[in-house]
Amino acid sequence: MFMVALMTHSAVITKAGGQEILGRKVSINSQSQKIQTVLKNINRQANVRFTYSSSLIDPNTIVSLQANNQPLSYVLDQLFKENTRIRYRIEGEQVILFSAEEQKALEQSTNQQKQSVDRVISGTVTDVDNEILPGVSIVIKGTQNGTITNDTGEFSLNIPDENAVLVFSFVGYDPQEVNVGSQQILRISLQPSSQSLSEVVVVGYGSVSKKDITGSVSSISGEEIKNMPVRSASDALQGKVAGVMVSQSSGSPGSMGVVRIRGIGSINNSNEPLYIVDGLPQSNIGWLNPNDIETMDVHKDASAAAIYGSRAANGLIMITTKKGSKKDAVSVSFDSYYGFQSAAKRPYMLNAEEFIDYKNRAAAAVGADLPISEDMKSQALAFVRANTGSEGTDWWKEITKKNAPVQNYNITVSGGSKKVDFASSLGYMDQQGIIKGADYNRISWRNNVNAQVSERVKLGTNLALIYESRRNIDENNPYSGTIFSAMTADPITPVLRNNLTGIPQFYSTIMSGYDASNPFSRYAGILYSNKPNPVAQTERMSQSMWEGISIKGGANLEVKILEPLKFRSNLGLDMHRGISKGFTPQYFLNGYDYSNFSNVSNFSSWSDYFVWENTLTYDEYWGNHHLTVLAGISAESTKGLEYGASRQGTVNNDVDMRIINAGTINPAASGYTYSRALGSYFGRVSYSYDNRYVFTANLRRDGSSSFASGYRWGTFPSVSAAWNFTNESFIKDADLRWLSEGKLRVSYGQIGNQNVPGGAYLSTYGNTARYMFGSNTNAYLGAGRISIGNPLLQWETSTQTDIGLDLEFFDKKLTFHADYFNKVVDNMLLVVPLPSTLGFPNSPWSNAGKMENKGWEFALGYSNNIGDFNYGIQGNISTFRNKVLTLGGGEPIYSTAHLGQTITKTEEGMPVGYYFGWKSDGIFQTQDEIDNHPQKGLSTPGDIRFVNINDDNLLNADDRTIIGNPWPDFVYGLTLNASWKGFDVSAFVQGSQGNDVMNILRYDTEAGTGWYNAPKGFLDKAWSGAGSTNEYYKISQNAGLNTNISDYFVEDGSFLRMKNLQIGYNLPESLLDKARIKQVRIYAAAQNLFTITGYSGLDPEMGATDPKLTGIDQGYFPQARTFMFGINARF
Amino acid sequence: MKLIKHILIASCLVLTGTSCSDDYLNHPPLGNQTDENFYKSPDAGFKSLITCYRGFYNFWGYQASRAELGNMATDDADKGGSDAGDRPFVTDLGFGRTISSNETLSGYWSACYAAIGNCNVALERLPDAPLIDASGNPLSDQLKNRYLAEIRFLRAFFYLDLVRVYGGVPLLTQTPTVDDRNKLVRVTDKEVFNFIEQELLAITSDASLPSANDLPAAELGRATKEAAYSLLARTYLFFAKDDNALFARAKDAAKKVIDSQAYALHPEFQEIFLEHGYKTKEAVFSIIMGDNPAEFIYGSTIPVYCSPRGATGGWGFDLPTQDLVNEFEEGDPRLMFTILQHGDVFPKNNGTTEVLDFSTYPNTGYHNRKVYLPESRRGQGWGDDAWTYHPIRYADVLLMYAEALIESGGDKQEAANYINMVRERASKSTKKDVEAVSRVLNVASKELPKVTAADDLRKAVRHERRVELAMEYHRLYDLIRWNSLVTTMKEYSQKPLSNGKGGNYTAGKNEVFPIPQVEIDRSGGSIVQNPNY
Repeated sequence: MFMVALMTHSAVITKAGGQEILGRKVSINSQSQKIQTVLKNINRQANVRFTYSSSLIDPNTIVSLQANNQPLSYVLDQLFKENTRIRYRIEGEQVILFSAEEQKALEQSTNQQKQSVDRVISGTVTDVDNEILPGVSIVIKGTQNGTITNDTGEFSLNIPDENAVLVFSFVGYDPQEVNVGSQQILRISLQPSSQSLSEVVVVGYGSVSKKDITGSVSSISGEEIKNMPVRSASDALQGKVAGVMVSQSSGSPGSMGVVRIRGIGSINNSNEPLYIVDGLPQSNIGWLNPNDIETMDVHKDASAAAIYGSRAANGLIMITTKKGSKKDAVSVSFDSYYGFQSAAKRPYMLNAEEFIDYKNRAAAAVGADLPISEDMKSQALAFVRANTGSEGTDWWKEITKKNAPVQNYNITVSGGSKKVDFASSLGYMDQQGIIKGADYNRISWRNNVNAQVSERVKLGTNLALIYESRRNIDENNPYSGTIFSAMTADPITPVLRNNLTGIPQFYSTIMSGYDASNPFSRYAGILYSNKPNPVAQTERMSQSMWEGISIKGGANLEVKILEPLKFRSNLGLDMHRGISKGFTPQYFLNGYDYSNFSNVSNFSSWSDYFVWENTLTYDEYWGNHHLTVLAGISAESTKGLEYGASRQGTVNNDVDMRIINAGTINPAASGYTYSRALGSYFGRVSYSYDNRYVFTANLRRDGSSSFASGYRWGTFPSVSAAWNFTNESFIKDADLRWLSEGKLRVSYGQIGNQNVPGGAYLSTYGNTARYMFGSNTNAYLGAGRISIGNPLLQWETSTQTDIGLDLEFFDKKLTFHADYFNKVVDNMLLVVPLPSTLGFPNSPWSNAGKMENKGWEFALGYSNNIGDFNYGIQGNISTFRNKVLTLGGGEPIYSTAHLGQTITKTEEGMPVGYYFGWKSDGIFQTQDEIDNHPQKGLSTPGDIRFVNINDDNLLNADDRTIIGNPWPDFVYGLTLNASWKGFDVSAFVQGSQGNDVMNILRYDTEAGTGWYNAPKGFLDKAWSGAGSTNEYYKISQNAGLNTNISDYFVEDGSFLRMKNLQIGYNLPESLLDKARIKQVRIYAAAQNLFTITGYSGLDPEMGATDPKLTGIDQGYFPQARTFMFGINARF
Repeated sequence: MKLIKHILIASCLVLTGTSCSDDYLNHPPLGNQTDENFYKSPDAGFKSLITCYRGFYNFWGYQASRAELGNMATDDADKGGSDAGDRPFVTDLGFGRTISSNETLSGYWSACYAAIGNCNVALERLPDAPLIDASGNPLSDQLKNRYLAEIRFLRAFFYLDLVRVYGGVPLLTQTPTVDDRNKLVRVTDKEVFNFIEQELLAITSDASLPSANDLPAAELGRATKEAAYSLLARTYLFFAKDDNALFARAKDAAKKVIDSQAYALHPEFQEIFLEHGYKTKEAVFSIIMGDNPAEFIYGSTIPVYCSPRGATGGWGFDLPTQDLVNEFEEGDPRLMFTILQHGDVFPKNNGTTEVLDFSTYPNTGYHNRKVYLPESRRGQGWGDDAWTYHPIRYADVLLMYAEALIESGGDKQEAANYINMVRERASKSTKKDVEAVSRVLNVASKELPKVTAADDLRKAVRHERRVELAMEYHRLYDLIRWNSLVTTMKEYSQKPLSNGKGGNYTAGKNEVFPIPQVEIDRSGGSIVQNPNY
């Protein structure tokens, strides 16, 4: 074998001087090193340069080589003895590596070449950022003639004729073919290869090459998410990654979506994944400017997440921010967008006249006197016409803003020299809400600096300063929420009362308490309900503001102790200061909407988090073996302080009165501190053999202050393996050209969860409140038991199994990933609601029950080009089935929402938080039907007929059952993109299928009870006598059983949303050259362009932090539809 | 500094393993005490007592539910509110169509058991605790025993509240554990009665519990021996429906209160309900509420809950019915201080007036004067108001005594005399509302005739209770113990203006209310529902 190889290699083509070069003496002693490293070493000794394409030689291939003062030719032959395809030849000072196939082609062309007249072409090669690329290989297609670019990225080459095609290739970049034509000078810009971004995957305390990944990982590049009008990059993950479900919890600026990886990790509220931003653990990334993100690696199974033990039970998202490059001096980029947001859907409610008819009909139904007589009606309508127009007040229109702006500006300066690189970015985001009074602002400044201090020591630092501010409205609240009030407030009441005419006597109270000198008094109190005037409410709430300042950063030191042992120490800090500046004005609109005194309050929260991690890594190759061992310790601590103060009764509502000292009465103060700590030991062993088999094992031992001594420590192991079966010789021998890569993965592991409030293990005693003896001014302070703890509280453990398959076809044009997972959560940390009969002040936390999530994830991608037209499609779909296996004492958990009603039930054998209530069976049309039904005496014609499930002739609590499931059958996302010359277009669709939602707003807007308004058309829809409808109950002041929780309120919440549509254009280089600009892309985009859904409410997407109360519409702030324009520029 | 500490801690982790890291991981919540040190802290005994009394201040669960059950579930008062859809489950109570998810009933149950839970903790822990007083001196046995007696009074009080509404309930006399959640079993109402009787007998013979005669003015509102006897009389009367012999015991218990001479009927009926009603000799047991947020004193929401809507800003609940108004005799000034009408005028602080306007919502034409506060008494804003409720007042004790006499075959003249004491006080009271600018109602200037031994005394005492104690949350329990809840409500449903209220009352079912479903569900079914619910 050796002989054959040697002989093959002796067929070396050399030009003049080649022999001299091949005779240069080289000494190499390499054991299991990357071929790249070995070549570099030869390069240095022999003063030659190697040119090769990455498709020919994987630069990471591991080789061993021994040579003691041997000629270069011998060394090269030794080096390539295992790879018989490789040929080399000398050209100038270069050694060009090429394949046997190419050699044949070359031999054929040599004759032709001799006949043609050479002409010289020259040029430069850069990357997309206009950074020069030295060492790029340039080959005339169909020949082995070629050259490489020099240190300044320039080249010059003899070409045979105008038909010559040049192939430019460079490691990490897509090869590019160029028709020379009549051009004399070429300017080539190489695109980074789409695979290269994810070539390395960031894992806990290190990174591994993609082929060595054994877990289920999806990577997203920062480019994919930066042009979206969202606060947090986690929101941009929506629909992008199989197995990650993101639901927006509100359309309010600054709110963030609810992120769930692989179903529901826990029945309690802690289901958020762990984010690690450049080594800093975070529970959310709302503060992080999405523009600063280089990559996000989403680890879904236990294999990689287990190294973060305790907190990664709900998945792990590793985020790397943008770094500078050591190879270019300075580059500046500028990214910005400006958009206009509006509500995509709005409710239409009854107008003034219809409202009166509606309320009279509700009264007539119970035989009550009509509340608004004919005479009053005509007076009321005259009043409405005179002041607001014939329809009356359209409250929704009054609270919303059309074309609310959202704007974002980022400037990044990055660069470096041989030893140091840096990146500094400044970002500003300003989003106004589509409902008045809500906004969000963020200024962020991030600095990353890395330095090679010495041969053995590397130092990296990163620091971010963030300022945020936010103003809110009262939302998702069926008592006083603005959206709820805007839907229910009567249309007769005008918005303002400072200029009213023709007030009927029976509305005379509308002017009571009017104070012309107080701007908050100019609004009218709602005449017919006890809800606040929604417009006045948004103005009052916008007087208060939350501001936050964060310093987040860290430093890491890496020391090569002794090859291959490396020590790394990472110190992270996260210091946050938040302040709420509250002001409630003094005002009086009516007996339900007033504040006797103004209130000034300041509330301050401090938190300081430190983490210190120290790791030792051993990373060595022997032949085909690669072993990595990591061991480390980490200590984390959090300290927090919160305090607030307030006073009431400033002399007026003026802006200059809004300090606490201006308050005259009722001084109040509050405050407390807390602290937490986590101590951990962890380790990882990773072994791969011949690029075919990879095994990884993790172990972490965590101690948490959340538990009592004796229950603090938990140990969490994981094992995983991958088989790169396309590297097997039998696959290679089969020569399956269509199959580029194939990998099978299996992982199994346990991760812990400790998300309980600090001290939940302790029963505490403290001050309660006061009681009066002797006189009504004399109070005594009480004290006693204030909380029941559970001293036996311990770690919740999630055991995850994952089987995955990754396939790439047709030169990686088509990619396919599939995963099956099964995640079983045991010892669930849970508050099991206890019977209040026990007389406890609270229901303690306990480790109760077991739950499983299992499901499938598929991702499919295809990208190709037809000439200049590049196109791609990426789709993903994922499912999960959630099932509670056991619950602590076996008793189900009932959860209440709207007006304290039981809405969901969580019990064994069922999904978490399914909707629980009566099943309806149409509408009673006649009294006869009722008389023969258990609802006799409880209902009247026009009421809902409920199903008496147990046939006991009694409609009661035992007849409640499952009436809906909030969890989708599957969620999906689909991205289409295409580009042609300078143009690019992308469309992103995302959706959820098969989930139910509970439209509890209809409880109030369609009941007829109360003085709430109803949706347009409701007067015609509602039951109006036998045979009128079997779908909508009657309008009546007496709702009877109709407003009990039943499937009447449950609707299909499936939706498909055109999440993002974007068209971009790269300005032509000829234009930019003059301005010395590297690249300018302008784009127009639409976010949430349309939504296809059968849901009758505003928006079916309703993320909830409590999985037991998911999809319950209590007046959500709807998502905005945004039209925006942006620019991405590089200088 | 922090960094250095951190490094030390981390080195500690490396070098010594868990031994010192356990210290590093010790972060108990601050600012609270544990059961180990709480009972050693100053005044822990008295503070525990205060916490037990706090049960009375729970608004929705206790105060509102008490009004919804005691008044609104009966022929004395309609629900009110903005319209039928405002707390519709309260309407269900009065119509006799209550279902087990009724919020009034679940709130009331939780509130009573929360209070009982606090009492049980204190009764378990205080006896053996090394208690000290506020100055750090050991607490005398006398004081400790007084606290214990008061807490037992409160626990008996809340059990009587429960048993009157739900029938037999789980009888928890010790702090349960979490694991007891599915071992909660209802005992019979007779067993609850036995417990209440035994507890009240025990504390009335406890010398540590003071007589009202010895109670300093600064301790008004605390339980006394006479309050315990009154509660005992009420308990006997309630359970006498099942056991006639209890009337005699009720009589004796009420007589102890009368004989103590600690109380007297207050000459001015309306003053009992004004700001300092708790200082009158009428107040046997009062729940005093004040309003001063600067001192962490928050009052009752009952006045705003039950006051007229519209410009007054009340929520408009608890409307006296025409049937109740009809019960008053001509010339009875108590009507003036029981009801309010559309057009009544009260002063406002700024010199103008507040004219009550019932026109914007459905109502019976009446509101409850006993809870209405003119603006000057509303403190810093509606919703937390200084207001006193008298669970037990002397007129009630006198009428209980009279009724016990009548039912146990006692002296008829004596019974008539006691009824007449209450009627005479009414007759002699001022017939003008001292707080109002003007009232629509005019009380005829006419004395109430005396009841004689020859009259139907049972009817007389029942009439007297209805008018004297009107809108004070006694009506429901009187009807239940007279075995006439179902019949009275069914008859009421036929009366004009009743809107059919009471029509669904059914014998064999509606004598008690359903057990809250959530309690049954969360106990895993170990608590069993009442029949036919």
